Amino acid sequence: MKRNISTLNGKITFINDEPQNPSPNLPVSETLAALIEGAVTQANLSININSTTGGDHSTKSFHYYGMAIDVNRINNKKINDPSNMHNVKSFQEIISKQPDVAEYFGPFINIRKKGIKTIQMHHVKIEHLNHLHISSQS
Amino acid sequence: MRNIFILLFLFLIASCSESNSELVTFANNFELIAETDDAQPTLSARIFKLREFGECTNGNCPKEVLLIAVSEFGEYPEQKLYKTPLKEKWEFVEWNHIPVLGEPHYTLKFTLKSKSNNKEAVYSVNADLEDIKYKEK
Repeated sequence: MKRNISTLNGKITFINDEPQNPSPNLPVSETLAALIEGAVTQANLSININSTTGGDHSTKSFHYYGMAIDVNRINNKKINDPSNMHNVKSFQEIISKQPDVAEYFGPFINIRKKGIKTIQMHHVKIEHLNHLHISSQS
Repeated sequence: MRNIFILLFLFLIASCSESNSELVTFANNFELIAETDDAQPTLSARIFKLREFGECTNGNCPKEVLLIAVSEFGEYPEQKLYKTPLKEKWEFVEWNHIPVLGEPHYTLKFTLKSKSNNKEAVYSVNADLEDIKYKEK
């Protein structure tokens, strides 16, 4: 079952990095949509989703199954903007506690959850300093 | 100066030949005999067959081996490669179970058939990211 993520009255936007490319507002899994909407509501922050099922990812990526998104802005500031550090950290902490999260990569937290097992993946931080990658377990 | 650049370019092209002999053998000779359809991002597998070089002599033929590549999904997937023992002949029969989302543990189940010393054997195989188990039927 797939659906579009709610915009939550403008708190979630879908602006592509390349304005001429299609909008990333595409259907994703129900689990992922609920996870993102719940975290944005709880954090009381706004986010921009710049990739859902499009873009270039690993061959086995969850993006191709509508089970992953990338976030490049929080509260209209880039993820790697030093003045945004507190918001990014706070949003990462909220997402990391969601039971349905599978992969969660960014500047502060980098984990892979498999069922109840959580694996630390510090080595991928360097590739996620300017965006958050969030995927769900279903 | 132009000639130096051309020579350098040719040297770089010549240096691009792969020296890993196992990879050279794999790329040139392995035959993909089965793969999962990846309808759901649980576990995927590809099964490759390699036949030793040479011809049959006095009823003694080059043997075959299967390489079974198993992968999870994700941006940085954990992956494994399993190798069967050498046999005169290996065949893939069918997929018996490809995991679906929500199962507590993802395990691929499939059937293989082998022939050695004129004796045929059928195996049910269970493979995941930790291990592979063969059970003769």
